[in-house]
Amino acid sequence: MAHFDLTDSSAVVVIGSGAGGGTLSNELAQKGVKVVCLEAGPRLSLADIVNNEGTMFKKMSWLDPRKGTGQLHPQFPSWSCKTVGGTTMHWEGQCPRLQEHELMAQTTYGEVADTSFIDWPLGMQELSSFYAKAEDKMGVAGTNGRPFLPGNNNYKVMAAGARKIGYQDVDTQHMAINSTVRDNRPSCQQIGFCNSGCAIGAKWSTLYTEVPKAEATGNFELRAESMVVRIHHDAHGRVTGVDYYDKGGVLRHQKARAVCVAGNAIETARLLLNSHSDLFPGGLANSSNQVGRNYMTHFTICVISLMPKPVNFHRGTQMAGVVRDEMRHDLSRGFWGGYSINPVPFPPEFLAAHMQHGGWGEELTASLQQYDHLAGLMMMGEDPPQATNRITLDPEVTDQRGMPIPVVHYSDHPNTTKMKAHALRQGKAIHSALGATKSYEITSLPATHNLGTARMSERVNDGVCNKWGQTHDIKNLFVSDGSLFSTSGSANPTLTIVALAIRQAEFIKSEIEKGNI
Amino acid sequence: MSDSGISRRRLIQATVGITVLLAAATDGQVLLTANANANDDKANAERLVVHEADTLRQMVKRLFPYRNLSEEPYRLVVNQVRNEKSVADVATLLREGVGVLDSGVTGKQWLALSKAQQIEVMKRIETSAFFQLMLNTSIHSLHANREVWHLIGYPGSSVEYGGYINRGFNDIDWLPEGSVN
Ligand SMILES: Cc1cc2nc3c(=O)[nH]c(=O)nc-3n(C[C@H](O)[C@H](O)[C@H](O)COP(=O)(O)OP(=O)(O)OC[C@H]3O[C@@H](n4cnc5c(N)ncnc54)[C@H](O)[C@@H]3O)c2cc1C
Ligand code: SF4
Repeated sequence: MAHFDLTDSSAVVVIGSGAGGGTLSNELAQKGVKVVCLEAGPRLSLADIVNNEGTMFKKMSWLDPRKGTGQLHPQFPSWSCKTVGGTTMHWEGQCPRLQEHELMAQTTYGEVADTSFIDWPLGMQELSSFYAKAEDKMGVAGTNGRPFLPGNNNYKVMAAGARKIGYQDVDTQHMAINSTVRDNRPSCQQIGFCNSGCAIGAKWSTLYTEVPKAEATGNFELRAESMVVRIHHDAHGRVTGVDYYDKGGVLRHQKARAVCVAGNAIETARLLLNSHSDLFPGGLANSSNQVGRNYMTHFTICVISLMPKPVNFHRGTQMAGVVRDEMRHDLSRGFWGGYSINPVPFPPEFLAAHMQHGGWGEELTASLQQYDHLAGLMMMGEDPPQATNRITLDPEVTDQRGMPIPVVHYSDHPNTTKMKAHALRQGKAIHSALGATKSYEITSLPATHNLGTARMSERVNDGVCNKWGQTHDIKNLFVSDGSLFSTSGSANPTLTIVALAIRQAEFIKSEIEKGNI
Repeated sequence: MSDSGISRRRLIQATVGITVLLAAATDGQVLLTANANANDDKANAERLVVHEADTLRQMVKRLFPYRNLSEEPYRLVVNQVRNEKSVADVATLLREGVGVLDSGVTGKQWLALSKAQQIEVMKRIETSAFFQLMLNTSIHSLHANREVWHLIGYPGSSVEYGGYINRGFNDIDWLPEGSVN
């Protein structure tokens, strides 16, 4: 691993080592660009991963104070990771591509009240080759000639029920989980604790793919437990370096040739806003007043059903499966945009807390007692950008380092309310087609996809970045995570984050060569 | 029960609660040793402690009445709730909570009520801090308990057994012929 002095301004500083930051770091390092990656969380190894949700939640999740308003949980508005590898440690590995019409949301959906739809500044033609590269990098099952993963019991229940009610586009999903031995990592052993971190490394995470590969180039230095609190700039408005608290809690300043922010949309917006100065009083790259706005998630709602015979839904890859039929845009359903249907299991503790709001007593206990008869589905749908759903800095409360905590505000658009109702109905229909005796709804999960808070737009007045993720205002400041999404589409975001990071690395390399940054 | 105040609390339980639980993980037992030679005051105090423990344990059973479950997991919930650190004065909260249960039907201790009456009294105090603490602790303690897992068919960690690749991840055999592929 390389080592860079704090005063060395030759390196690009990447903030965050997750899907966006980990990928970008490695892509740059492979091209000979020097990189220092600052990561707030600690570096774990596979030996730290155990099959216990509670233990891993404590080890990996982002638990620094945050405030949720609107319909969000007041202290835990969103779920992500604070560890090397970022949320690619917790993630499930689902890797769908966005659909072409979703990249042209404004054109497709037209004028919709209380939304701030725009079209992406790049289309499928520009994106598809990078999707292919991302799928190849991540070893996505079901792409590039790789076999799909086998379906587990919970998947089979979903597939059988879905076909019975007329759905056709059903398979075990494109998953960034090895279906065969590849990249010095084993194939999936159906352990069933994917979101606690894959103990054998069959699931792609930047912790044991991008990060060590970048280190092997000699161009890359990772500093774990290093939390960036401010980005600095010079009198010309070019960024020059960052302030961060190191492992020992000491405030350091690292000089930089360019800065790429990939802290996961909430932290990315928080850092840009917190870096306000006389030159940029509203925060860095915020002349459009769009930093922090248009915060999108995908709604995630679940149906848990008691089936007539055993399912054992805890066995095997947690979310290998999808029904795509409802992902289309079709106004005859009473809403625009679409949603996916996916298999999902949960452990008993989670079900006892969530399966029935405020529930207790004989009926709930009788269902939990038949844990082996439960089947689960998760529906996930497009979320429109709304300027009022946004990240701001708390004017009063600061975290342990004195940095203002982020306030995350979110409320569903009426279209989302309609889509959720449809999704719950269809989820239940899938299970009842196979004789489910009871179905429960889980509608209060924290967001796991954070998008849109520094979005790409062709225009400087309604977006923060151009189509390369370069901020409109500052040419050596980049955003490299889900914050870039112009709109959310209905696909899980990580494949797109990785594709954009690969594309951005090519751009940064060529800008360096041209002497622009 | 669908009132959003309660839903919000439930959310807190699931996310924040999970860490609180882990931090407070209980390993010991509260020992209620009866001392045969104690003076009257002391005997009285102990009777109260025993009464409180019995009441709380019965309450947990009403919250999650698992069939064929031993007393032990229920007893652990009571130990754990008594050691709860996130509440300023948990002893007072529990003592007063038991008092509220006992005054639910005039002239009768809650433990002496019929099952239907016990549940009725519990429903009346669902939104109280006492009830929510009991429910929250029961959710997390009982459902992270290996004996409960075993009873309901959840095996927990699987990596040490090589996952489920050779242990039935796809062994379902009751779905309609030809429906999966
Ligand atoms: C349970 C769960 C399941 C999921 N399943 C899927 C799925 O199946 N498919 C899918 O596409 N997506 C899934 N996701 C979402 C996916 O994990 C994220 O989309 C993705 O990881 C986001 O990448 P990122 O680079 O934006 O952020 P992250 O991967 O979260 O990385 C951000 C990193 O930046 C660090 N950081 C933040 N602020 C600072 C700072 N100021 N200084 C230094 N470091 C900082 C953080 O510690 C973190 O490590 C899931 C998420 C969760 C929680
Ligand atoms: S099921 Fe597969 S991917 Fe998930 S944790 Fe197990 S081995 Fe890893």
